[in-house]
Amino acid sequence: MATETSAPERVERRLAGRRGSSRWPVVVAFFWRYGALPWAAAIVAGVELAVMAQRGMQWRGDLVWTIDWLPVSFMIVGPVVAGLAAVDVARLAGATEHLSRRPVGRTPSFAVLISYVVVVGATHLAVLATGLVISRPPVGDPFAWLAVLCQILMLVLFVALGTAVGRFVNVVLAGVVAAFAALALVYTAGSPSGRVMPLEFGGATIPRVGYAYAPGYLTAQAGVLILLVVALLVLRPIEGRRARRVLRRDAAVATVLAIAAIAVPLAVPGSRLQAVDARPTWCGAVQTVPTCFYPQHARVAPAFQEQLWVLIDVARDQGYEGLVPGRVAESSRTLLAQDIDEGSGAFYVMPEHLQGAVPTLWEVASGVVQPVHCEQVRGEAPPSDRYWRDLDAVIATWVELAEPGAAEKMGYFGSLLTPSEAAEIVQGFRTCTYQHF
Amino acid sequence: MATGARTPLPLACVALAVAVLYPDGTIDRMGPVPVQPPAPVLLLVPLLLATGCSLAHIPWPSAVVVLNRRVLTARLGSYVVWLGVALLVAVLGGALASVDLTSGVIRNVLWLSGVAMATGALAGPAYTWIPVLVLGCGGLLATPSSMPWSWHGLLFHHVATSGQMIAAVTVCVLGTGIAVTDPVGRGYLPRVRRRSRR
Repeated sequence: MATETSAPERVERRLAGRRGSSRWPVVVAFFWRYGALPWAAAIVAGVELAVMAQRGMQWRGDLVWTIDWLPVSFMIVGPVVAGLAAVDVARLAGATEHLSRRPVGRTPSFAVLISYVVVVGATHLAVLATGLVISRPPVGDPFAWLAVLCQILMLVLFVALGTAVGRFVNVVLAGVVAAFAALALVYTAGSPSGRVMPLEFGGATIPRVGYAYAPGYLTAQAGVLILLVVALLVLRPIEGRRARRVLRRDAAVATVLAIAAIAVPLAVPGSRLQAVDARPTWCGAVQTVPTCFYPQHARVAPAFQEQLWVLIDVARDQGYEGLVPGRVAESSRTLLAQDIDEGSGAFYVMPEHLQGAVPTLWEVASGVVQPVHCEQVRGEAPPSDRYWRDLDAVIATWVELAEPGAAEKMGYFGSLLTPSEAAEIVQGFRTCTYQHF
Repeated sequence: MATGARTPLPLACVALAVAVLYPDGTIDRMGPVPVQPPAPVLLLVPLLLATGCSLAHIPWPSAVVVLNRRVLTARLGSYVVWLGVALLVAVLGGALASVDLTSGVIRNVLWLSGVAMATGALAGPAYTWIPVLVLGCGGLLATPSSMPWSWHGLLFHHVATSGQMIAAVTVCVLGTGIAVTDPVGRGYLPRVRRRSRR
């Protein structure tokens, strides 16, 4: 036992002779060996990978959705990381009251902060990189890096909250208090309102095609996060847990920063995503009818094209030429296919399709026929019952041609239309001259 | 004998306050992520109560102890008392709610405390909140399901089935057993622990 050196002695030896930033790898290695860092990394990686794999990995192909889906895990990762940082500060920095009045960058809890930020940040970036490789997004976004930076700053905020709690609370309660405080923070500071919210990380559950990141909002969000982190770092007890009072100067600085962090959002309204004029440019043709999709959804386009092929084929065979559109394009949440070209039909790629569900004939036919571009359908007053009956009749007729018995399965028990009736209704829909809206 | 039995008091107070002030509250968004169907706040209060139960007996500062029947009784007493407090808060919250949630809250308190108490004995009281939090918040992210044995069903079904209740009681009893027998003895000095096993 006499020849074995203790851990602090080994660390001291490695730190001696190192100056400045070359000390940090030793510090991180210390908390990896003696703290809960490996567990933090394992839990973060596990939870984030599990969240990525959820819902059939519907975010594949969409850059904004890939980046916005991963932080859904922050509702677990945030509290866990905050709690573990708090436990480590309370446990390992608990006997260091004599150091609590040093400059912030030289305190033990700051060392814990840096270690956690480095390890958890690297884990998060590694999972994100894996997601981007799997996703292979064809369309980029010039401010995607800013969104990722904001995610890293959110992780820093969670760790800063944890270290702040760990400085004041004993080791048994530090983890619980920090974890539930972080959870409460996610709940309150993450709900999207029209203002800059510090923890609004996107959390997309529907496709983000047609949207891009708003750089002004993201910059303001990054600023607010930095202000909050500094405010938390400045809150230090006078002498560890023996005198938990905070110096008036420190409290004043923290208050000013917190007020600034709240005032910035009030002065800068905005939303995180802005609508862009993105067009469906992944084009092909089905039985000489041009079809266009957004490149982000190219992986599900063949399924839609197959169903459209069946519908067009059967319509032409049975004399229902009037049903066949001149062009079909995908609609996004910001741009309807019919707004680009009035006579065209629309594909609606829903999250279920991106999760692996095959679009049904009814869904594809409905998208092609339904006149969502007409003012009478978009307006305040709902369309008449006659409109819905005629719409159902057209779709049911078309689907019945392809698959006898399908109309009844979808709940349509009326009579089917003749080719001329169907053509008349569809023409009325396409040009918005239908008589009975 | 110092048992640290007052440690769960702040957590129990916060849980009681939330249960009394928001018995009908629901969480329909956690940050920007929508929660569908909305989760009743009362079904999430057991997260705090379970963590509290697991902190009912802290070995520090008496790190030297002779393992005998008195010690085991004291441990069991601490855990049982705080479990009783947790179940009381659950019943009170359930009575105040307008929807019938009581059996669901009791089920959540029972199985989450079992998990937390086992974790406390095996990993130490500082880490008991981790599985409780991951299971609870993971349930918010899990796919909603009507199956009683799904992750969502074990946490967020309003009325507990008899199978769920039996499982919850079993997990609670097992967790209490592990916490009372304390096989790893993390809070005690190793040399003293070995000597007392003779």
